[in-house]
Amino acid sequence: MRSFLFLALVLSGSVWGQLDSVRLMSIPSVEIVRAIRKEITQTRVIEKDVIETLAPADVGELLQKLPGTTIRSYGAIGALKTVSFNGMGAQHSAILIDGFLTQNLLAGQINLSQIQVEGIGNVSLDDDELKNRLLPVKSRLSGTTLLLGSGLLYKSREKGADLDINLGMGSFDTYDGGLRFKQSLDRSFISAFGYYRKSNGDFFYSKDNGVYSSIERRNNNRFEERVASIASGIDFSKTWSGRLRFAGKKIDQELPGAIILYNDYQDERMTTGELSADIDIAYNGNSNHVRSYYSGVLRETVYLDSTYLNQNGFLRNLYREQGHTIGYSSFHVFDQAKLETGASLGIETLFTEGVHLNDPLRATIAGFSRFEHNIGNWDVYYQLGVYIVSQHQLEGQRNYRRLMPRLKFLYSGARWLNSFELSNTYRLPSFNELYFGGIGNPNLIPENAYQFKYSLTKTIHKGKLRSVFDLWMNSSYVDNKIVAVPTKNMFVWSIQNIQKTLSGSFVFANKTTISLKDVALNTTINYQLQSVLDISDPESPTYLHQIAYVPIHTGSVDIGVKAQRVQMNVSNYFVGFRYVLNENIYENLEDGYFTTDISLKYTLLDDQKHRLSVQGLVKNVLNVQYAFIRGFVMPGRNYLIKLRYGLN
Amino acid sequence: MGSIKLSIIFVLTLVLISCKKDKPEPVTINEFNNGIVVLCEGLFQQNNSSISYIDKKNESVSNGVFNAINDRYLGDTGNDLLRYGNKIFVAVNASSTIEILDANSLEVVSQVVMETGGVAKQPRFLEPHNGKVYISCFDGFVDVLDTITGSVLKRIPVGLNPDGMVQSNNRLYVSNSGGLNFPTMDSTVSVIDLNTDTELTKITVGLNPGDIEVSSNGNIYVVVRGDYGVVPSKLVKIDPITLQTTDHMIDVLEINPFGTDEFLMTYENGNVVSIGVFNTMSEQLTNSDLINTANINTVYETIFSEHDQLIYVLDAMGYTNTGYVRAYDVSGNFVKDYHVGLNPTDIVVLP
Repeated sequence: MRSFLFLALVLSGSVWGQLDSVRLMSIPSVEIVRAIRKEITQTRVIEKDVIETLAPADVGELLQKLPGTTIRSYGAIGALKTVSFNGMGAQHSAILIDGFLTQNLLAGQINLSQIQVEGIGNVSLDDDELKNRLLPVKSRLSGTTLLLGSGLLYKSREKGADLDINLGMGSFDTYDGGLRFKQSLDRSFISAFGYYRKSNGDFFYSKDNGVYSSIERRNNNRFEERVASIASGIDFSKTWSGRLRFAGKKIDQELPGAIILYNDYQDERMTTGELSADIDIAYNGNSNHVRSYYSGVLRETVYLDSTYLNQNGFLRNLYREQGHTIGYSSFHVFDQAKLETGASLGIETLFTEGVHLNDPLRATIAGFSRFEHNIGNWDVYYQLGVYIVSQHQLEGQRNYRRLMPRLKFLYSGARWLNSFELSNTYRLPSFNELYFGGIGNPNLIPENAYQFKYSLTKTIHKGKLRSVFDLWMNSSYVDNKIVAVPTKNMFVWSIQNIQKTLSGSFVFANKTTISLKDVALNTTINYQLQSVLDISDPESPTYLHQIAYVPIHTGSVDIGVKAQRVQMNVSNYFVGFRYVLNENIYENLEDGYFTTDISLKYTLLDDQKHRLSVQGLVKNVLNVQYAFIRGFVMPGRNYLIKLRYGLN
Repeated sequence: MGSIKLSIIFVLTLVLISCKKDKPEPVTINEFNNGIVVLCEGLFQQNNSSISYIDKKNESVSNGVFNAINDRYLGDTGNDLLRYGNKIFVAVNASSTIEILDANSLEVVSQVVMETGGVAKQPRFLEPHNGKVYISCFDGFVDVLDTITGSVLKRIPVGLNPDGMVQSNNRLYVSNSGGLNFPTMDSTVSVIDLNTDTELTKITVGLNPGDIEVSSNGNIYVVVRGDYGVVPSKLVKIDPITLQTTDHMIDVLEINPFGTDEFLMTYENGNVVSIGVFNTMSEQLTNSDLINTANINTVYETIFSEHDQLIYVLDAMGYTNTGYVRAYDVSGNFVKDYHVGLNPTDIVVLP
């Protein structure tokens, strides 16, 4: 605790002390510049109507529409999906829902298929202009932050009740239904969300084996989830406000595993139960803004393999995680400057049965101080972050500390934005990596990443046309990368800090809207060229080879037309070839794929009181056989019908 | 300057890797003799077990031979290769199959699906005897396979996750590893009467027994692997008459017959993997460094071929890269190496 207080004191006091000597010029058009910036970052945002139009099965399917992302998907509904940005590992990203950090202590990366898309109202990639939200400290220290908003933790502009109901049915015997309710009063709101989905999940696919091909059924895909949350908020005064949310989740699913030739006897399943609480209190004065927050999660995951050949004749592993984080974030706005600070304390514990992780506990103190000042068209950001981590388990204790500097220059023109950023980030090893029986390595140190980003964004307004062009270039060097490697033999693996990677990526994104009299046409184009090379050992056969499962080319093209009550969207997604192992040889090559989804939505009713729409989707229209991860095939052509009703 | 050079290398590499790798030329082999059949295990859940063929006549290597000849893949995690009569047997662990090949053409004669009651048996190792092949199966049995009909004649219950096998004096000794019960693995060796195909007894040898061999004087030697952490590995001798055990505290990884009274022994010396010679008469490491392992990345298997009097070291190259078969003479001098498929785990030398 002494360390925590000391940290807060050092980070806050030292920079506050510098402010006296900062002389700043006044530019009256700052707010206009901010508005322009918000507009020109539109390529990095997905709004609610687009989410509804795409009707993705989960957040993972949605995020592949953001530039610079790589989604790893291990199958259909409910299967593991993770996201990484700019060639960095998934654990270098922070995912926030309504400003609260989502956590997975066990794996260290969020399974996007367990975030229900029906509860999400908007998505945005991190941007400094969007970060005036007093976000948790860890998001400031991560390589990339992804912000998901449910819309349920904010008071509506107008008083009254909002109710949204959606019902869906589709292929694989999938049925779902959701309900969102919010009552906004003068100074408070209360909201609730509930969602249920059930799917048989089985589908047919083409199994290729040499010159032979057969149509097989992908079994063991049953999936059922129940989600509920309740939230409330109150404005205590003009400057003070508070929010709280309680949420619960239960997922029961079968795991089909990888396709193994000649062996179709796997029978694995997993249940996940989760309870979470998020509370914050914020002060928003004229120039001082402070938010203190608490996030807690209890998660129990039970993994069952009824065909496992151990003494019991089955494998049942139970993981019970607890994570509690308290912290604060604040900023003080000067004429042409802003000082932002934050600190948090996190306690994470894990209890297991059936697997030996020795009940670890980890305490993490994180903090940052960030100073931003404006000189003419330039904004300059200086940030220093820190992690102090203490890990305990039966076999001992390990501590480490890390300082993380970050520097950013941002140049704003009338309709364009230029930014350069240098940063140093870390990602902590997960409990699995540290302690998983026989594999984990308690001596792991955090992965260390140095990143350079350059982005150029430009908007064009010509008559009815509005277009935003976004161009990024990223380069990163990751040291002590945490990887699993076989050691004694094929069956004995160990997690080690041995890999070094050098990555570079080029991202192009464009969002264009043409608004005519009764018709609006919008297009979104994303393309990413990325290379992530193994530079660990010049003597290794994989030296300067592309890391496994990083596609060199990814892209998407979406075209939407809205004419009065009809809205049509054609969504295309492309993933280029990649290698299943780091050795870039033909045998490890996994071909790319291209999928197309078509959506048609008709609004039956839309007045001030009621909204009613019906939507039909055909996913994977061309019935392409594809898989991101070898052996984890995805469904072919499938259908979905959605009915949405809204009451104001 | 260093960073400029690295940037140039990076850009050039990006250009190079942006091109897809071409498919290798298809394999055309007319006859399989005077060569080496190499089983490449692949990686679990990748379905990329394969067979490479080293043609000793022209010193060429053909990879992906099984697929090229049989128009289908071998499967997932090929563990063992056995020549018996004019057939070659392959145990494919994760796919849970036994592939029976014609030894002259490598064409599949039949595929035995190893399944019982909806559970994969997961075959591990093969041992021939009297027209039958004994198969250690991870589900706790040794299956007796009729090599003519390809049918399983009998299932002999043994310990947990049976692994290595060796026969001596009409008995089959089976290491019960219990590897899937980590960290409370099995610690026994089952003794099976090959006349009745029944288990006679179990001998306790230590945690996680694996590789098992017989010496010229009839003693059985077992590599007991421990828990790869606190409990170290050791070599345990079983007296075939009294069934008493004697421990040799060597950090041993594997043993293989080498001439009359010797084993090639792969062992760890600190963090260094060494290949030496263990004399079964003196029960000493008579040569602690027969082969210089400095140029071997990952010693996965060491096999002495009586036919060509060469020692073949199968180098798994970190288990995630395509491997090498490295040949040495009996004095440990390097002869030649051959680039083969992913994780070479066993060979059959064809005369």
